[in-house]
Amino acid sequence: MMPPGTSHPRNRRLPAEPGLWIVLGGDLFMFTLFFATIAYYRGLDPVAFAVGRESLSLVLGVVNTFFLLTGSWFVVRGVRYYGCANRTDAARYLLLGAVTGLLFLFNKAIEWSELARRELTPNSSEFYMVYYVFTAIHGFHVVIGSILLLTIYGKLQRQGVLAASPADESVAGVGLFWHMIDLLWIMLFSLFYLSA
Amino acid sequence: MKLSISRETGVWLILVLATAAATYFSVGRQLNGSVAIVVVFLIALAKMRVILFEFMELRHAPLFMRLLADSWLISLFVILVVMFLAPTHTV
Amino acid sequence: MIVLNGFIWLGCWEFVPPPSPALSAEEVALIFREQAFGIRLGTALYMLAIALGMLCITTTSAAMKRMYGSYNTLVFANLLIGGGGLLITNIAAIFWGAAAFRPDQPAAQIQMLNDLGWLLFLLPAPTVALANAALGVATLLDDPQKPVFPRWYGYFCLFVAAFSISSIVTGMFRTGPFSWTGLFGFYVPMTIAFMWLPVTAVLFLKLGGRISRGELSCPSR
Repeated sequence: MMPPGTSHPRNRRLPAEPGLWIVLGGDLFMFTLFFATIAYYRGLDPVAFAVGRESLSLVLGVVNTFFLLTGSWFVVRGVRYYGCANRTDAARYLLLGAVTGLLFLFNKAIEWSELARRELTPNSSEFYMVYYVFTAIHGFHVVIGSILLLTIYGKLQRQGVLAASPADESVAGVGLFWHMIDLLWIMLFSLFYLSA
Repeated sequence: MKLSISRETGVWLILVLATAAATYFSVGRQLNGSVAIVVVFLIALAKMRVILFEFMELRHAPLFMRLLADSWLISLFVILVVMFLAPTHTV
Repeated sequence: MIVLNGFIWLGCWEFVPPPSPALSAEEVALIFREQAFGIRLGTALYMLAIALGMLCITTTSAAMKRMYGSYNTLVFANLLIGGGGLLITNIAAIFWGAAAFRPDQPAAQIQMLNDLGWLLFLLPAPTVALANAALGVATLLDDPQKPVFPRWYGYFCLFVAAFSISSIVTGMFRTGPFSWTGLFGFYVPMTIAFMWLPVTAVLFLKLGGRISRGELSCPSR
């Protein structure tokens, strides 16, 4: 994180390198399309969507939101410790972040298998079509994010410093990616679990 | 400024409370359908803005990025609320 | 390659928009019988297009060899997986050609060949995506002092790879945005792929210029 005084206009900088924002921007754009698609299909059949929403476990959804929010908290701390050259604490927090990611995925697997047990598949209705596919794509992002966090953790443990040269920025970059995943989930959660 | 809890912990707390609030006000509970939808999206977008500006450090970013982020959030809100509150369509 | 593919898809096959998987066998058969010549021509030309595509893959692999560290896994991944993935689409084109080959074969058969073609074309998308991801990773691991490609290109490749994968669900849906005629099943991956081509082409032209001017002459390994 930045020392005091960095909010001064002359000190403004982009967090992490510009190229990463292609991925972030592209992802946000694609997910915006996804959100609009969900809204579109809901407009076609709001009743099916309401039914679908009620079939989901609100508890598990909230728990998942909690996992990702806490994961982001861990990641923020981890990145900050890394920036202060405190490798051990950084490693620990980034690992915890990855753990929340895995918990999220595990929870999602439970949700899906419960739905499947009740024979609610992606082909059951348009609600489930968008629900499964978009949460799957998001889940895939969580997998990537967790792998990235674990990779950094591994490197910090082994060498104490990242081998690649733009070292500081890659940790912050992975952190950004993780927060984006959190952000996207908040909208998915609101769309599927709270307002369908 | 010395705080008894760090900034990111405070942010986390706000996000968790907001999640609770959104769940409380979600469709089919305390509020009428349309109002609930608006409230839920408002809270969701507020949370997203908090994450963008705090965790993703947009606070420190150049002006155009912050403007871009805010305009994206606002457009998202408008698009979703309009689509959700509009009468059903068949095409 | 862009021009050739554009011609094939739009002019010969007329597969944009793709025939919906929800069509009945009779309707599919009608399409193939009416456009028989166009489809056969398109298939023939597609063989050439894929040859060019393979060249594209070999060039990207060669570029990857120049990158810092020149990780063999990544280079071979690009070569093998990209090449293999593209070849599978070759087979898809042949299936479509076969569907148009004998207009008097039963409609259900034509439909099956069409289905095979589409599924073969779209389902292996993650394979080629992985090749793209390898390219992206290699670019990012490259020496930042004298990079072969600009860093944003590495991120761009990863983005292209990530969102080309969405077509793997086309096998599950016959209607809707995830079917092979849908927004996310077809249009998004194809648009992204066709965005990648000119970007890469321009960068390669620039790279050629730099190599002939003698920059990047030191072998990195």
